[in-house]
Amino acid sequence: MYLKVDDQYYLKALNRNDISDKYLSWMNDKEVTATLDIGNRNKNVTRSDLLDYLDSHIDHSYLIGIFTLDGNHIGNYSYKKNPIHKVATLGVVIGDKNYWGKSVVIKTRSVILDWAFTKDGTNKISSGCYSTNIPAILNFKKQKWTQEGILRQHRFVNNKFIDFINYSMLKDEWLNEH
Amino acid sequence: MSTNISIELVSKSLNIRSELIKDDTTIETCSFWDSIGHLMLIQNIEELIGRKLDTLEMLEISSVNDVKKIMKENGFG
Repeated sequence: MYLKVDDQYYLKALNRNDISDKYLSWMNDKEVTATLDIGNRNKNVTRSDLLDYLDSHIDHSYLIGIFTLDGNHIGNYSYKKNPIHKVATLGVVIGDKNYWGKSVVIKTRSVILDWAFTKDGTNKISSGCYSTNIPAILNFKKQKWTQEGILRQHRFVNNKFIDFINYSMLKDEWLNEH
Repeated sequence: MSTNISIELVSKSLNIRSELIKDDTTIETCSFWDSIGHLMLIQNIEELIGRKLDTLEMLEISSVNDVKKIMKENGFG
């Protein structure tokens, strides 16, 4: 899978050779993982953990890297699809902090939505974020995702219970807008 | 007066001139309304009203009119 985004970025499905020290460093950077819905934040993430995570993307599911055109790996999407119900979940991390605040998610996620709805036969994409992740909320609003619900005090992060917000995009909604 | 406060808040947060901002300016229509600007806006509102916004309040903010409503509800208007 290879998707050209624009004159800045491209997306490609990751393979085992893409599990680099750089990617590993993101997942052990507390600032990067602060808003990710991961399990034990105090556990050191190993290369083996990342390989297992990559391998969990089977049957119409992909771990998709975000790259600059010169090949710099800056982040990932996790696209996991249930082919029976044609629903996919989508998560994102921008690991390279030099690219925070540069609308990378808005630009690249549009391409994934186009691909999922027009090429991959997906009907619905679900996603979400912590209520504390204000930039992510802005991105969902800007891209006109539907807020499906608020899971109250659904996560315990930094000694606080926080809400989790679910969003979704339907094929018809996306194609009507684009 | 509340409109002015709201527009000034948005202007300061998004780092754009207040003349470019109207009451009906929204997240979707304003290309300058980016994720970092939105984070700044929430923080600036919270600083001014002296408390954290709850999730529902925070999720309501999609336009200058929404900022105006929040400010009014918190005694700024």
